Amino acid sequence: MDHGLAWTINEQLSRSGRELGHVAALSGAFSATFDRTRTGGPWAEAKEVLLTQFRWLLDLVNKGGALVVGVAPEEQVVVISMRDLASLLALGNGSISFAEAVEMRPGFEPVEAAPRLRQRARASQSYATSGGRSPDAP
Amino acid sequence: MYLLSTGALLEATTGTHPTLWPWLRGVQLRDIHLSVISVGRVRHELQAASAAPANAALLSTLGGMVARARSARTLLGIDERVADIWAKLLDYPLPVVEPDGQPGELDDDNRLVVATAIEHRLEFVERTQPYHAVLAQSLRVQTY
Repeated sequence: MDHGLAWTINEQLSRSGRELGHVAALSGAFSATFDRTRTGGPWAEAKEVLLTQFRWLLDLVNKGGALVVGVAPEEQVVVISMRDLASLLALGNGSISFAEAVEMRPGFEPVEAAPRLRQRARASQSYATSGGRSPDAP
Repeated sequence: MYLLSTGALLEATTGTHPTLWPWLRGVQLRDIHLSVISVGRVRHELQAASAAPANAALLSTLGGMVARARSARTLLGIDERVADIWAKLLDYPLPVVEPDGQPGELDDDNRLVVATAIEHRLEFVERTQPYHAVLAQSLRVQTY
């Protein structure tokens, strides 16, 4: 697997804490549906609850979320939209622009600021002095 | 293939620079290189005690840039050949214009970054500076 894609998926996995709640909700809906039908409850009603829950999760993913299913690392799977998959693949092979790659990163926040770099005084750097003893390194 | 100067990297962390950011939209991720020296220097600038509150967002974007560069294997360190070029550059007068318009000298950290661009034959992305003419034989520059 491409290193860039692996990095991105790892980053998504590190955010899995809040998504696990969605998985738990879906799991609960499955269990409730199973219990209702097993005890002779109305199947149509149970199915509707399940579909509503499932559509909500698909909507979440389509809006750009990544859904991590499972807790044990070796069994976890990631659900993402086709659009996001295409972006990840493009990111993996480096065929997107530098700016797009940075903007895709979760938490990217453009700032209206104009920082400018000033040069440091050359004489203040230790190798610009002769005979002096440099301070101890940290 | 390009190497962002320290100044360009700092200005790019806003994600809004009117000329640099659109240019970065047109260059592929794998073609933009960063120097570890620039990364450290920008981090230091943004962590300064007098830093603006917005600097937390700029530091976060810097982290994203470094992560992307690391993934794309375009994060460049210093090796012996770069150090050899740097040693020669230390003796050159390399004039710059500071942000306030005052004349100055390219500092030693940034000479290391310039040496990295020369060694790896990367176009150096920076605002126009007088020292570019001094190094015209060895350094290709992309201004913004």
